[in-house]
Formats: sequence, C-alpha cells, structure tokens
Amino acid sequence: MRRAGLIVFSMWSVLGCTWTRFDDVTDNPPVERFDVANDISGAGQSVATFATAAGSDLAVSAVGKLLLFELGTGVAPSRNAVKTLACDGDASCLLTRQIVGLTPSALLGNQGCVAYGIGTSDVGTATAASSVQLLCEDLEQRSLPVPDTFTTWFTGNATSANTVVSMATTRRGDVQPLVVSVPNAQATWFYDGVDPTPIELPALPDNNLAGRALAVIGEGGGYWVAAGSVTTDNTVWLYHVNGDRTATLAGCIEGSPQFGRGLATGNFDDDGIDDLAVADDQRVVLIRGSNLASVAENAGGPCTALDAVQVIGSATCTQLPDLDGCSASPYAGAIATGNLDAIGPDELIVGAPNTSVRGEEAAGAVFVYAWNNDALHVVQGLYVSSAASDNLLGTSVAIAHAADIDTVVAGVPGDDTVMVFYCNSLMPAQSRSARCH
Amino acid sequence: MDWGHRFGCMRHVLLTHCCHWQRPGRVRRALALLLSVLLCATASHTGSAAKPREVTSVDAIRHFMEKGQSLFVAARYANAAEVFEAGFELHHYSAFKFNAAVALEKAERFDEAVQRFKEYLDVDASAPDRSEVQKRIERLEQLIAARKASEKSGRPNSLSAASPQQDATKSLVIVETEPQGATVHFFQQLADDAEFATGVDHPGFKLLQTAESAAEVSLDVGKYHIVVDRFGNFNPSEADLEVLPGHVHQLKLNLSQGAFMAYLRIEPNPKYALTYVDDPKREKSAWAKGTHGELIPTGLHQLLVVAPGFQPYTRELKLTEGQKEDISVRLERVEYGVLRFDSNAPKIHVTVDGHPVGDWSNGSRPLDVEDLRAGSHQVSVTAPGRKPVHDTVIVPKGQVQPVHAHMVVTPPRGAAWTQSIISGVLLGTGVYLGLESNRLYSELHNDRSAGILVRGDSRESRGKWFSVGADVAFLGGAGLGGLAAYNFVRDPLPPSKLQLGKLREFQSKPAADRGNAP
Repeated sequence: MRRAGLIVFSMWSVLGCTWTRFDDVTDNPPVERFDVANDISGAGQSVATFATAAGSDLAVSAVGKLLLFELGTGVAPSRNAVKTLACDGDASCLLTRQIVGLTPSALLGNQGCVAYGIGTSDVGTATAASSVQLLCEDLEQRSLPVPDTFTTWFTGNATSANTVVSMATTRRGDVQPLVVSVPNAQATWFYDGVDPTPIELPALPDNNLAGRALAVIGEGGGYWVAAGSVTTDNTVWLYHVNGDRTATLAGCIEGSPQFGRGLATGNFDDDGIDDLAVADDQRVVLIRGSNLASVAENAGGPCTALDAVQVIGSATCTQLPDLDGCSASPYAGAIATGNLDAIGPDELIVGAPNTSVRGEEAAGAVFVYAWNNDALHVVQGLYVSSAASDNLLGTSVAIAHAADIDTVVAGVPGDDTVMVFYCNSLMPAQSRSARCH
Repeated sequence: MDWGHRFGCMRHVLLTHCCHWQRPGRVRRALALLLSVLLCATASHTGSAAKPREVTSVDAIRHFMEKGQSLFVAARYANAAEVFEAGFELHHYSAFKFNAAVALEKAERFDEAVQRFKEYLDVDASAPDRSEVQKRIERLEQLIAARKASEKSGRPNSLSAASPQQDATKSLVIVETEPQGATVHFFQQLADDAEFATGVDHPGFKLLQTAESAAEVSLDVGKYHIVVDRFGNFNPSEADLEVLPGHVHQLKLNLSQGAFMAYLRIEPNPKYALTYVDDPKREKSAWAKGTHGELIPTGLHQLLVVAPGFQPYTRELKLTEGQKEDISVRLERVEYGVLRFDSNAPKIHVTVDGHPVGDWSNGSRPLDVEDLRAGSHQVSVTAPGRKPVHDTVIVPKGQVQPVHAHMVVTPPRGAAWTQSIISGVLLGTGVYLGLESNRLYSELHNDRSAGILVRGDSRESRGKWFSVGADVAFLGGAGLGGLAAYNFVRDPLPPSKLQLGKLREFQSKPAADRGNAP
C-alpha cells in the first residue's frame, strides 16, 4: 500500500514536469490585462468604453495620459494601446476625473469617441479657443465648444492636474448627451448629443459647488443631471435639461457622509427609466429614477432627505471568499452599471479598491450586485489572480459591450493597467467564450 | 607366532648379509641370549672396541670393503687394492691391509703384496693366521727372487703364484654386546658337519681369537662359532657365523639377566607414529617412533600406537619367551580436521557454517579452526575494504587444510556515493519543484475556473520554471542515479577467493584421543 502510494506520489510529482500545461491554462485567460508603456504611471485612474464600427474601444486615463485600446467584437482585444495622448493638466489639456465614452453620432462625425478633457488650443494667441476634447475611434481628436463663461474663467485662472473636471453621459440611448462640470469654475454644461452648442446649467445657490461626480438620466424629452456636491460632502444636486434646451435646478438630496462621491445610472427596477446610483463612504444606494420628479417639487427649498426619496436598494460591503473590504473606507471607489446577464434590469458594479484580496491589502476588487426581489444582492466579487497590495483594482470601473454581452472593465492604477473580466457568474452560457472554460 | 618360520627368515637374512646365528640344540641357552637385531642395514647401535662407532663409520667401512671386493671379483685387482688401501686410510682395520695384499698378489705386484702382508701383521699383532701370513710372505719373497733370477738367466720361473685358497680376502667381523665388556671367543669350524659342543673341548672347531666386546676381528671366509662368556649377572650366549668374502659383519648381542625375552617389532602407518608399550597414558617417552623392533620381556603388554590426526590403536599383546611378534599397524584418520586461515589482507574475519570462528591479523599465527567435522563446510571471510568471499571448503580427515583468503580490494565507492547523494538531492529538488509546480498549476486552474485568472499572472512563469527545474532535476537525478548505480555495480577487480594449500598433517598436538568433533 505504501509502495503504491509512493508510486502515485512520484507520478504526481513527475507530472509537474509538463510546463506546457501552464500555457493551456493561461491561454485566453478570463481576465485580460492591457499593456501600458513603462513611462506611463497611474494607468486605470479612469476607464471608459464606447461603441465603434469595429466593435468597441477602451479608453484609459493615466497620469497626464490617455490611452486607447481596441476591444473589437469578440474576446481578442489589442492589448497594446493604439493611441496615446498627452494631457498634462495645464491649460492645453485638463484631464477629466471620469472619462466618458460616447456612441457614434452625427455630432461626432459618426465616430465613437471618448471625452477626456478640456483644453485650449493656440494658448496665448488671439485665436485661442477652449473646448471639450475627444478622441475618436478613427484616432482623430475632436472637440466640442465650451460656454463662454467657462472660457473666460479658463483663460483667466491657473489650472493644474488637480483641477477637477467631471463628465458623464447616459447609460443608454442612440444619442448620448454629455455633461461637463468644472466645480472650481462654477460651470456645468450639457450637450444633447445633437447640437454642439453647450447648454449651461444653473449656478447653485449659496455659492454651492457641485460636480465632483456626475450622472445623466434620460426621461422623456429631457434629462436629469445629478451632480455630487463639492462644498458639502453629503449632497447631490439635481438639474433637469428640458427638451427646449433649457435647464433648471431641480433640487438636491442629502444623505450620509460623502453621499454623492460617486454617481451612476442604470435601470434596476426595470421600469424603463434609469435609476440613480449614489455612493457614499459605506454604501451605494439606488434611487428610483421615476421618483426624481418628487425632488423637483421641492425646488428652491431645502434639500430632500434621502429617506424622503424612493430608494430601491442599497449595496453595502459583503464578505466574500478571498475578499475583505469592509473595514476599509470608502467602500466604493467607482460605480457603474451594466447588464451582465443580458436580460432584465441592470446590475450594479462597484469598484472597491481598498478591498483586501487573499490577504493582499488594497489589492482591490469589483463587486457585482443584482436587483432582485426589490433588493440588491451581491452576486460576485471580481478580482484578479495576480492581486497584489495597493494595486487598487476598482479605482475605476466601466462596462464594455463585447461579443454581445456586457463585461466589466476595471482600472488598476496601482499596477498601471486595466483589466477586462470576460467571464462572470451572471454571463449566459451561450455567451461564454473559450476564456470562460 | 611361528617362531621357526620367523627364525628361518632371519637365518636367510643372516646368511645373505652378515652372519648366521646358529640355533643349537641348547635352545634354552640360545634363547636366553636372544639376538636382538643386528644387521648391516639397522646398525644403529654399533660401535668399536675402543669407542662407540657411528653408523656412518660402519657404512663407510662396508662401502670400501664391498667395493674392493666387487673389484676383486671382477679381476680388477689393482683397483681393488687401491680401494682397500683407501679403506684402511680411513679405518685401520687389518682386513683392509690383508685384502690389499691379496689383491696386489693377484696383480703380481709381489713386492707391494709382501709389504702389505707385513703391514697386516703389524696392524693385527694377534692375528690368528700370523704364521700362515709369514709363510706367505716368504713364499712371495722367494717368488720375487726367482723372478729376478729368471730375468737375469732368461730361464723360466718354476715357482707358482698363490693357491686358490690364498685368493680369498678377509672380512671384518664386529661383535658388540649390551652391556659391553663381555669376553667373546671366535671358533673356526673346521668341518662342515661339526657341531659346537659344550664343555671345554670343541671337536671340529678351532679357537681363533678371544677378545673383549666390542670386538673387531678380521676373519677368513668360512664358518665360525662365537661364544660370549658369562658376564657378571648376564648369561652366556653363542651363535654361528658364516663369513663371506669382502664383507663387514656386524653382530649385536643383547645379554639377558636371566629373564626370558621376546622380540617385538612394530611397523606403523604413518611411519611417524609413536608406539607406547605398557604406557596407556603416555606418561613416558615413546617406546618407538616409526618402525622399530626390540627385545621386550615376555608377558602381557598393552600396546598403544598414536599419531596426530589418527585414531589411536590399542591392543593387548601376550608374548612368550623367544616369541618374535611383528605387527603392522595402519591407523585410521580421525573424523575431524582443521582449517588454517591466513590472508593477504591485514585483517580478516572468518565464519564457518554461519558461526563466527575468529579473526586473523597480519603478523599473527594463522587462524586455526579446529574440531571441524570432516566434509563440506560453508566458509565466509570478510575484511574491511575487501570483497567478502563465500565458498565451500572440504575439511579433511585428521589433517590441516591451509586456506589462504585472497581478499581483493573493494572498489572505492566514494564517487558513487557522491553521485547518489547529489542524485537524491536533485530528485528531492525535483519532487519539491514538481509539487510546487502542481500547486501553482492548481491555483491557476482554480482561478481560471473562478474567472479571475489574468494574463501575465506571475505564477505562470514561476510554475513553468518550476516544471522545467523539476524536469532538469529529475533528469539530472535520474542520470546521476543511474551513474551512481553503475558505479556501485561496476567492479573491474576479480572477486576474492579462497586458495587451498597442500594438506598438512597434525603436528605435535596429541589429537588422537580427542573426541566430539563438530
């Protein structure tokens, strides 16, 4: 018996000699890592995807850089950047905290583009002009004009890489609007996706500033614009852009500390109107989109308490095998929404960069929540097998639509890369590629 | 014992070689003085009147006498005279001078013959034939004178040479008694049918000479009767003697103190066997070693014949007066033997039939393994740094089997051990690396199943390197292991072996009465 055991043990040991099996197990891995040049740091601070004629592209921001990768239509992306732009944070280019992918439209020359910053061309000349800058799938840069008030501020004030510029768009829609906010300039404006002329949103009362995070929900002929407050850390301001290109301040919602530090939209209650996901330091709450009008009824008055709005669910930290992020704060570094199972309502994607993975502190993870039975339930925690301390995976998250299914994209600035999770537990069997086997 | 037959045999010997002891009607007396042994070939106790004579001396005397006689018979008289002269130069016996004179006379060298006869008379002043020799000298001198006259006158010489009776040479008779000092009378038998009578007169016999033993007398060819007078407490004795031409007759008489004696002769096999008579515990010196005959008292005797390596022979023997017992003893070997080990190695350890029997070291006496049952035995010999040897050795009966263990150096295995150790380390490393590789593979596989495996996971490269390392370690370990095995097995040197030497007899150890051999 002992001899047989020894033989089995030896055979098992000898099997360790076959190094090619590692190729078998690592070829087409479930998680794709994108290569970034060595001279680029902080890659993954922000990620965004947009549809292209060839499928979709992935845009990644780094320190002073923007990188563009081609995801294609399947699960074989170009892992090397097809385009790298410098955006150094001076007047020529202020990089946004959250780059935004935009579907092709006539406004953009029928090119899928990513809006990544604000800059001034011909700085210091009479022809100097500021604009929202975009990089499109044809690798050409495009721009959208900015309001004159902002141009005045921009040309008259010094800026740096720390100057906050926020952008957002809707979760869905054939024509995607774009909202841009520069809190320091007390300027927030809106593009409806058709007319390049910006629509300036009203200034906030009492010198409040907002725009550290933005979200846009399409409703009928107008849009709801949500902006996280800068002057207070627990308020989300709501604007409404009307179909006649006018905009009003609809109200505000107060929540727990850091309420509004992250915003996203998605349809969780399956009522056809996207809902608003708001992150504070410990959780993410979902506010029913159809209920935002009730906030507007209180316009001009004090902010509506979060308890007074319809919260359809909240996502809090959950312990999962290998994952422990509950002791860290804040919980959500970034939030996004996507339909990972391709059916029914969207799922909430929460990037939690401070999560410990297999004992690696702040390695970061992405939690997937599904709205079910009138509540959000954690479905899966996504992380990478190479998790290491301070990778901060989940600092940014996005949804890429590839191979007819939504997949999770997460920035890993601590590792200067971006990960695309081609597989998840919600993915339908028919959508599972070879990467998932 | 058929004494008559045995005596007949003895008689034959006496007539042929030396002398003839007559067994007269007075058998009692003759037996009382039983002749011990005598003879030319066994003259171990012979001696001259003046001093004990060495055996070699008698042999030399006999050599010259018989050689001169053979030349004389072959009519090579001058040569015979030279040999007789040479014999006299070594041993001043008058017979040599007499025989030389006769030979010279036969060679017609009369002047020299006369001279030799004169020298004979000078040497043996009591020669019984003095008057005859003087006449012979005169006759030869006349012959010489006549020959000279004839040469001058040219007329033939009318004188003749010696008569046929005068052609005979003399022989030397040596009579020894035990004890010495007895008076010996030499009587010449004058008539063939004369019988020596007791008393003062001896018709048909003439007293030639009386001497004290040991006596040496030069006698003519013929028959004689020798009488030894009563000597102290010893009884008288007598014997007949026929003297042959050109011979040396040596007689030894063992005087009896009145007790009747018998004669015992033992001829053992092996010839070095010791014979003990009436000494079963061997507390005294052996009666004889090898073949030996001697007078012993009559009666019941215990005979013990022993030899190392043989079973003792015992027998009770009853001897009567005058009985001559001639016994041949063939000893049977004992049922055990001895193995005697030595080796070319500095030290060996010997095992027989699985039982350690001892060690042998260079410079020490060979290792004797005794009391081994005769027959086949399994012998194993080991030595530090040498190849062991296992073989079957046949232990002889009652003999020593020398066994030389030729121990061949064991080939050094240092390299093999080093290789095996390195091989073991490599195999262990291979196992470790293989297990680590398996662990990493399992982790990666599980991660892939969980959908979290990312490209570029460092465990992939580590696992590959571990696998490659395991391969290299296994190959290296297997290679070195094979090489080590080969070096362990490889043996360019021949095996050790046991070399059997020539069988040897037991030496002084009185092993004959030992028992309980294994």
